[in-house]
Amino acid sequence: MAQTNYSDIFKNPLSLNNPITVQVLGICSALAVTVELQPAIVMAISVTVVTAFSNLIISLMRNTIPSRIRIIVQLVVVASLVILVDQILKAFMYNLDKALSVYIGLIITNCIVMGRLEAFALGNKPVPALLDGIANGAGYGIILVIVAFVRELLGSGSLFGFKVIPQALYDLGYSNCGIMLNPPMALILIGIVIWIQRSKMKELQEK
Amino acid sequence: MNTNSNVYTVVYSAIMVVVVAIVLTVVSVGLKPQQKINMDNEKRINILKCAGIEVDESKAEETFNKAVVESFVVDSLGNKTNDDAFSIKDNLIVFKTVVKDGVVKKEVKLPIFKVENNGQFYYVVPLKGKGLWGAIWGYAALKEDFNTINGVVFAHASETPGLGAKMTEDFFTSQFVGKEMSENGKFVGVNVYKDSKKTAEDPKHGIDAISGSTMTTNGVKNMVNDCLQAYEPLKKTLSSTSASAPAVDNTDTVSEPVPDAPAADSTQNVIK
Repeated sequence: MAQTNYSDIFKNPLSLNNPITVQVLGICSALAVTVELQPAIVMAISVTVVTAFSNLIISLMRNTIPSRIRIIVQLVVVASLVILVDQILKAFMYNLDKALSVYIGLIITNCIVMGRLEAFALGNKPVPALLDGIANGAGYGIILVIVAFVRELLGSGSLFGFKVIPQALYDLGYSNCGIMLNPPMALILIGIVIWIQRSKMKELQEK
Repeated sequence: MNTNSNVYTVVYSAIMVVVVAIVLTVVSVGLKPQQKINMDNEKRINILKCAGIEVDESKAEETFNKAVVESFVVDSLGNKTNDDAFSIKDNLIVFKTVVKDGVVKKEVKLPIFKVENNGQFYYVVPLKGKGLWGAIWGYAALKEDFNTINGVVFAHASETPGLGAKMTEDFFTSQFVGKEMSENGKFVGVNVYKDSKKTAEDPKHGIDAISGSTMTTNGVKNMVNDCLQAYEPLKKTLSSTSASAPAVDNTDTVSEPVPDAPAADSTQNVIK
């Protein structure tokens, strides 16, 4: 990488190299926390914070890390950041922390985080690494929010917990689509997002 | 510097671990008070919820202090102890084995919260038990007769999501409403059935199990039965005081769970 191109670093994870739809990483939490918008957004922010800061920290440390224990060092950094996020959520957003339950802890095992550390932070300067972390977290977050939007709207007829589908529609015989609340539907929705993205972007189509 | 030498690697990891430990300790200690407030409020919300009072965390403390007319801890004989019902060891039932004069006895401390809602009194008691993977706990509110369940709240540490974890959901907890603990003076508790026909045949005690979660459901059953049975000796005192209250001197008896009722052998009966 001769010349760091900041706009590419930032744009790629959002579209061409999206962690969920292209790299298909971090699917587990994407299925689990997308029943409602609010936890999805908090999860997206938490993952973004963790990827951004772990990228930054690892990038700052990259020349000192003994290569034999680099995975361990990465894990320690990621795990501590996740514990920090969890502690802060417990103190200030207790109900959300309960809703996200184990999935906050599972950010540690989210492949996006480790993937970016190995692939990017270890070989790049702190500023691009920070950007890369933010962008990958955001790329993950966008998909989470899209899926959560559809699932909450069709599954419980609400957005952010507020009813948006008018009662009149229910009176006409409309009913919430219960299957939307189940994890398989999230997988199908992610599949649909991938399909739409691939059909729009020529670069992603395999010959 | 050779970053691959053994000495460097060992020193590096040692320093890293110490730094991380310090950072995490500072944050954890710093945020403790705020986290404790949240947990206390959740406790209050749950206690109020099974007595039929819905409240959010901003008003939890205020409502709790108003609605809980009385809270106390009693031992197996029904004597009040000096413990504070709310702060006693996670305010769950405390079982302790004590050896006294060569006799092994199990000591219990049973917290009770008397909650008033619309002129009705409810006795809220904590529950504590074992699920499939870890601890389960909750609260149950008994009506004034100290026999009929008014509502329950359950929580769990690590039951299987989508199966056992459903024990906290309304479709399951609402089944406990109106269930009676004793029949003809004998403790029956709740029974769990896989077949909903059998549940229908046992309207006073029957609960439909959660499909695919036999172990968790049995855990819940045992928790509810064991914990509520531990309170059984208090039943006479608590329900009779409210019934006989007008006849006797009001000021003294109304809230006194002690007097004469539970026999001395209740220590052995309470816990098997």
